[in-house]
Amino acid sequence: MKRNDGLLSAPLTINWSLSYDCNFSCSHCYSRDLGDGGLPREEIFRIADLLAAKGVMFVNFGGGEPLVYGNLFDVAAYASGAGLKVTMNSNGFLLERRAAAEIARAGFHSVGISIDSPVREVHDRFRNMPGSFDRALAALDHLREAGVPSTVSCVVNRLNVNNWDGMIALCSDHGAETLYLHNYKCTGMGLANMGGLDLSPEEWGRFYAGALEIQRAVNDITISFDDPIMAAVPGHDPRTAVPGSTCGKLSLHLKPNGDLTPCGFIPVVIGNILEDELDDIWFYSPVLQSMRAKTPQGKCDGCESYKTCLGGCTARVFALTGTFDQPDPHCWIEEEDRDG
Amino acid sequence: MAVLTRAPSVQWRVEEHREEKALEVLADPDRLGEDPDVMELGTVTILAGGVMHQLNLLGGRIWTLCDGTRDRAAVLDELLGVFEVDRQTLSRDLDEFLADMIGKGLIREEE
Repeated sequence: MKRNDGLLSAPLTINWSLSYDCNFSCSHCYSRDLGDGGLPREEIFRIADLLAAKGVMFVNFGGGEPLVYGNLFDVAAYASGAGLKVTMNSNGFLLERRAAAEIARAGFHSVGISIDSPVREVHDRFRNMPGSFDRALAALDHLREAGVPSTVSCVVNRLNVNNWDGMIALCSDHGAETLYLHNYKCTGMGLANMGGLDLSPEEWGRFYAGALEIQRAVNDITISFDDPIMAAVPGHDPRTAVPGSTCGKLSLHLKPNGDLTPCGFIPVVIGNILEDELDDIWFYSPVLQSMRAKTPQGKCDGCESYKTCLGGCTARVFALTGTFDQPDPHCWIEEEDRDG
Repeated sequence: MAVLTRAPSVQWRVEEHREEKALEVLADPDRLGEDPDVMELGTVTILAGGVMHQLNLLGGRIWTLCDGTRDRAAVLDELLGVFEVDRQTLSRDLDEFLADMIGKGLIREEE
């Protein structure tokens, strides 16, 4: 099989779930029912060495809640010492002053805190955890005090779609440098609860058009998105590093047992990092190859946006259709509108 | 001597497979027909300010040589050992690349 020289030599980022254990039961959780066993510490260190040797630049711990994992700081310090830039996504509940100091000592590059609304009750309801909003804000303050850069991760959904001024002010007030607005994924609990939480395609179209206006107008923080269908917003040049989804092109997901999947939201195992050569997986995995060379189907065929969006979020398409090539269910462009 | 140095906050790496392929074609230009785009592939990836940049073989070589030990003349001498191009042309390419990178704050030139 011919190697694809257009690909980067290795993933830039590994999203690493050290464990799926969590202290929350969020409404959109993709990993609630996953329970893969973890690895011994020496195997985890071996993985960190392997990733560094392959040139992987960033390791982002997720899961599960990383701060529930007992060896997080040891692993992070080791990975950081091996030359990897280490980050994590946390719900912030356990991130007290002492934890922030440990995070700084372990060499974390930055930490993302999940906050889904500037309204306490809305956030706590979405995260199914009373008090989680206040603890998340406190986590941002502890990180700032410890000198660790922070970001805020927000999953766009029906409960929060109309309150961006409040989110931006919250980020500014608590020292978060970037607000990441994540598209709603329909995996795990996200699929079970999508009826009440997901937006309609037309609502996504309106949301992104408005959010891009806000992004242009806001200067004190960076607003960042991860949804390839934004290419369909009229006049928007997304200037992305790669067309379409970045999973499988710039990043992979590592499960607690060493299995690799294209991303956390695509539960298809493509190999095991301790048993298989990462190069073989990266360059030759049939699953990754089919994700990277999609064939436009349905309304995507002939659509002007396709060359940039490549059919939108592959994880969402896979969750709802079982294939990689169908149009993103969030896409608001209709064939008849496009042609007319 | 004004040495060239990469901005320390920038994350970067060499794309080894692509560089290997580009060097093979550079050594044997007849192989360019196998993959006409190979010389434009990014052989160095730079991440700065949330933006990903890709440098081709020449840009990537210049980037790696800007390690704080060389001035422009020393970088040019190193490049002439790799690229079969006359000194004047290569010097112009080097100046253009550095102007762009210094303008973006990705490389510094300091005494």
